[in-house]
Amino acid sequence: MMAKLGAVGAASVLSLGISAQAGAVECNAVEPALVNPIYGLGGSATRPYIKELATVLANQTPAVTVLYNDSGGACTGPYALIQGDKASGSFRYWDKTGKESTCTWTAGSASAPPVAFANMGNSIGLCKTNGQATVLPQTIADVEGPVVGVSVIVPKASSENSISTEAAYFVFGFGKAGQVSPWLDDNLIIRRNENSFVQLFLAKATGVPETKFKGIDAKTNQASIQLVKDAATPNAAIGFASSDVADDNRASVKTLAYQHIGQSCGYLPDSSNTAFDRKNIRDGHYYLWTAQHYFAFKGATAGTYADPNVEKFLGLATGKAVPQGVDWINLVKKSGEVPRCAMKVWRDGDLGELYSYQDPSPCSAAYDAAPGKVVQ
Amino acid sequence: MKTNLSALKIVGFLAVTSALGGLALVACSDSDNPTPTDGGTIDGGIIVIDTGTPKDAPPAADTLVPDASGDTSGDTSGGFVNGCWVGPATNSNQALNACTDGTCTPFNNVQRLPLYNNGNLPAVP
Repeated sequence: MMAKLGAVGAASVLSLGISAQAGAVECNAVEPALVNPIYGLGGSATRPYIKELATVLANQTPAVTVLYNDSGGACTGPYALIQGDKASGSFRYWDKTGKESTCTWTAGSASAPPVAFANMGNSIGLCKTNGQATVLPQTIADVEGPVVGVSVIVPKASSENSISTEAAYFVFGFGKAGQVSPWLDDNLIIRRNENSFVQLFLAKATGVPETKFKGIDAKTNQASIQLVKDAATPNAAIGFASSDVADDNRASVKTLAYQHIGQSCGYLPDSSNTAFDRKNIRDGHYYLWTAQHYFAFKGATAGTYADPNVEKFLGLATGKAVPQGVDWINLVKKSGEVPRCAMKVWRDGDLGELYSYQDPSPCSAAYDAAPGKVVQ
Repeated sequence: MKTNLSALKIVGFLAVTSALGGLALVACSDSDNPTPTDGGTIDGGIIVIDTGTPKDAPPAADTLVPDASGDTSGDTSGGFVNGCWVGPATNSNQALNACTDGTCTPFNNVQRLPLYNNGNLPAVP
């Protein structure tokens, strides 16, 4: 019986993968029309931010076209850079209006360009190669991006509103055997895999080994949303995704308040389930967050990059070189992220100790005033 | 086989959670003089925690004990007052439990986790 239900879950995931690539054309065919294309690989957690960056760069003169493949999980990005891989698989790209298209590079294509940048939430050390922490070569830069949260999610119709670290340990580490009602159906526990930033973070926070999560592997953050929201028994369904992606789907899923070990009450990333202020991330009450990482080949001099178009992309992504007329703080807020200058606590490393923080150029007021996400 | 998540624990606050066995209160406002309460109120499905502290909640093991006037035993950089941290945080325990006027929703480990065993969790199979 379990095997049969598992097959149903796997089929759902497969169909999601197929639909994501349906209608994709060969990148070979569209590339001549793309201005200054750069290819990136990494996690789907920050796709909302990548889309915003790509849209801004599509509007510059000269433009840069950002193409991003997030189908393999966070760690596949830096792995590809380290190995010097060429672009392969399905890439999303965005035009001046933010309209998304996809194209595909066939694996092994001689004309495919190299992967030029990578992005993920976790540090490279959480990506394991043969069980060992991956080490970045000196030729690749690792730069800090805005803060992204991780959300444990349930369907909007679920009656659950909070979860503790210990409960997450039992749900994701034991599945049904963990006996945490109402999350007792392994086919409605939605997980990722050990290449995924969100799974690596939940593993580190809860103590569940990253390779031992129970449930169905959704493959991407967006597919996790889909599987959780489509659950036939809403109360039994649970999963996790980046807070960026969860917030893009508040009509169908909700983030649970998270009560970390040492807390006696759970907090949302925001001040309420209708706000987008990231209050509890910014002041330290919400535990599951990190500054995201961008990776690219270094240039000849410090702080530069081998590819000038990647340099423009990273300048915008990190807020260090923002094109004139672009409201970067609002761009970040609109994506569901937080610039370091709006944080009141900080941490070093993956889920490191929290401490009070005041940025040398604070922007909390500007962040609070920025319109951010517009809810229809 | 048992394993212990001791590396993840803050002993004092687990004690708070266990001792309460129900609603556990940490939120407080540093602008108000907290009044002890026994619970929260429901606001749109979210339990709004009033300012205050549980009657039997001990301070965290690694923190200073305020005296009757709220003094933090000579440490001017901060301390736990009525169950929440006041002042700059230097570690996760302090930041996660800083006084706030925000809302929160507790999850009761003792009541909802049959395998909880006072925090001595079984190893992941």
